[in-house]
Amino acid sequence: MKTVKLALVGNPNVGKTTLFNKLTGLHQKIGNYPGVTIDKKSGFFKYADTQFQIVDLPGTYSLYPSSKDEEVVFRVLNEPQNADHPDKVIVLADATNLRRSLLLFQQVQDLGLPVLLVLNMMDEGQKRRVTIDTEGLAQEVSTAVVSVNARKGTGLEQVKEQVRILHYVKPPDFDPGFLYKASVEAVKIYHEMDNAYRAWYYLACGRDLSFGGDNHLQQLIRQHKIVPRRLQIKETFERYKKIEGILSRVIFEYPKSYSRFSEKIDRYVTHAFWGYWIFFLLLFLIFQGVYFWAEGPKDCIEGFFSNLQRWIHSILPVGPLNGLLSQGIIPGLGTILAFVPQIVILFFFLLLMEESGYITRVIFLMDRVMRPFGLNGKSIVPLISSTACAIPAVMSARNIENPRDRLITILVTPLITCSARLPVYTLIIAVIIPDERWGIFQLKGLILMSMYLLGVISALGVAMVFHQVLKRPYKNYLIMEIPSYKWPVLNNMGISLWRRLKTFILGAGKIILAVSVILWVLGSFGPSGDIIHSADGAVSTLSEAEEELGSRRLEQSYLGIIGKKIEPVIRPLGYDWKIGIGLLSSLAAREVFISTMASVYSLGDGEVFLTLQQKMRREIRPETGRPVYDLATGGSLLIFYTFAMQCMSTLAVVRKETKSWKWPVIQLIFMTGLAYFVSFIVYQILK
Amino acid sequence: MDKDYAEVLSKLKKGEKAIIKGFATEDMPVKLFEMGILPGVELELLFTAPFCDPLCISYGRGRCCLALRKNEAENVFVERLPE
Repeated sequence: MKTVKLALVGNPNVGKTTLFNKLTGLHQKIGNYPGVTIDKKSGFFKYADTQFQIVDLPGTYSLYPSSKDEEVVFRVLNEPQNADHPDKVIVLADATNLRRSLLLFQQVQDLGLPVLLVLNMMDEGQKRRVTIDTEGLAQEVSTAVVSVNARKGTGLEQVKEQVRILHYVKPPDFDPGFLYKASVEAVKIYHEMDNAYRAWYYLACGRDLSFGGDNHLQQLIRQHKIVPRRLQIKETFERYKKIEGILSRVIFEYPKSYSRFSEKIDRYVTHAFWGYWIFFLLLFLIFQGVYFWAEGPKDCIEGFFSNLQRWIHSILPVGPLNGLLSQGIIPGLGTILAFVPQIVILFFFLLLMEESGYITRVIFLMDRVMRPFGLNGKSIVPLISSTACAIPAVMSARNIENPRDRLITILVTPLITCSARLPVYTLIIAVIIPDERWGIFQLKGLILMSMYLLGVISALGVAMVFHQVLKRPYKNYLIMEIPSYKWPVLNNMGISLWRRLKTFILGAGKIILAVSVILWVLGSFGPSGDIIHSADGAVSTLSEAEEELGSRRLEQSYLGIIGKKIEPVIRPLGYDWKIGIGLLSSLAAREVFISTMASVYSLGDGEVFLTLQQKMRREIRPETGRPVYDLATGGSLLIFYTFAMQCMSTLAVVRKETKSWKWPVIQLIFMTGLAYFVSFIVYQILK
Repeated sequence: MDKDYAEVLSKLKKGEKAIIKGFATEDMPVKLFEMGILPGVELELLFTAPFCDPLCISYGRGRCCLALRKNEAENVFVERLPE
């Protein structure tokens, strides 16, 4: 069976992903394009005797990239040697907004590829009094035109049939106009190609995106005094003129407003006062979800893994394998999966906001507010996500086209209080803050809330600093389509949610697991050999004496030694080597601090939290005889966890998203430096 | 061209309609043109965020809806249409 490669192209918000999901179902896979950060979504479907492979290219308004990620569209379409170079292209157009879609359609057709034009939402168009003569349109654009409803899944068979028999290629008749004729000829000759539009495109981009002819191109541009932007503008104006001509013959439209329904909703949702209240209400709901609804499932997962751990520990013979599984790998997996409930809830809300079209209104409302900090409206999504976890947050910053705003967003999101910090905060606050209440306000609750505020303030403050320091290479703008409201399709959301969750688990999981295993190795082996397994046989529940022994072994392990080695460095912050071990273990995920402290203070599983509090309160400094966890050390520790960059997975994701080690290293240094500095001051003042 | 002389998009009031006449600078983002903000196109100011920035317009015969910042809107010359 032969395989035909397809590419799906279209404007943002036309329902491209919906059509892609409907065509391929779950036969999808996510890959990477070299050099850019967007996910490559490809999938398969079979029709008649043909196997089709289809790539969902990022949504764009034209072939001219307005961000690095959009370059992918042109590269894939133009480079025959590219692995995803399609045999045929499907351009998906919004029937209620045909003009913009036809601009892109014409560009793709001029590249010399067979193109099928698919009109989505014809019925929506009819509701808004827009009717399209599809046969007439097919004649005008010299290719087959199919109308579908991607959300309902109608017309799919026709798309498959038409794409199977599609073969027409437009003759290369692009007219660059008198002024640019000579230079376009020169590019054509240099690259030995017959397609004038490709040559024009290189000139209009001002760069040679594909082949190694950049020097030649720059020389031409200078020689013919070409301003690339002007070529893009000329092309856009002329194409629109042609499109208006076509549309006047095939479309009948008398819409009154962009959408009655949306306009009514927007009266409140984008209101200068109520708009913000509605947004804050929704934020509150997300927090509720991430912190409270996720609690139950999270406990189940943790309980399951701690049982599994005990069970493995009891059935395997004592030895390194037992330890590796029961103390390295299984707790590591448990840590990763414990994040899943809140991530699912977060993604659910975000997808709901995206699919309904509400998110563009939030971006609209927040844009002006975020600008003084060097961020823009689109930074709001990463900032919300980071209250659950910085990893999906950093990844969601991809939607910010402006590279500078995107970078600043990525750099500051880890400062927002993520859910892994919450257990640490709760534990420390429980140990050091007395039970006082004034009316309905509990002191502990107030402190916890101020930790959250501190996270937000520090993120915005640091963003402001970067805004001053970083160069501003481009003019900054926000030009964003506001789509009409739509009812979210659950099936579609489900597929997207699953895709994002998979990326999260694979991305963060690898690192968390690796760090857990390394910590286990460091914690169970020491210079005097294999110490932890030298003792007696397999027992399912550890007796107190054994636990005491375990903690002494930890002290003699490499981890204990490292903890003691760094003690002089962290002493000025009020920490001893035991806290040092806790800090080191937070490299896997900050909440691992709790379980590590539990083993440092020789506790079994199960009763951890309450007993750990009591143990920590009773802990005495040998040299002074005063409690270790006093207000000074506790406060300093809280501050340290607010600012320090401890999460290895976040660093790895930042490195992946920024494509260099430079930014994660800078992030590590400035955050941890800030943490050290502020914690030092707090400890010295409170001491 | 003198900015004070002609009317600009950012000066429109909510619900007012106008026709695009031209642009104050050569430096407009090309994306704006690609989205179909071109001379001769009719538009209506739908709503604005506080401080009139950004603003949201519906435009063209398709009545699609677009958000842009005051900064860009100040450079779009328009002619007000009577109610």
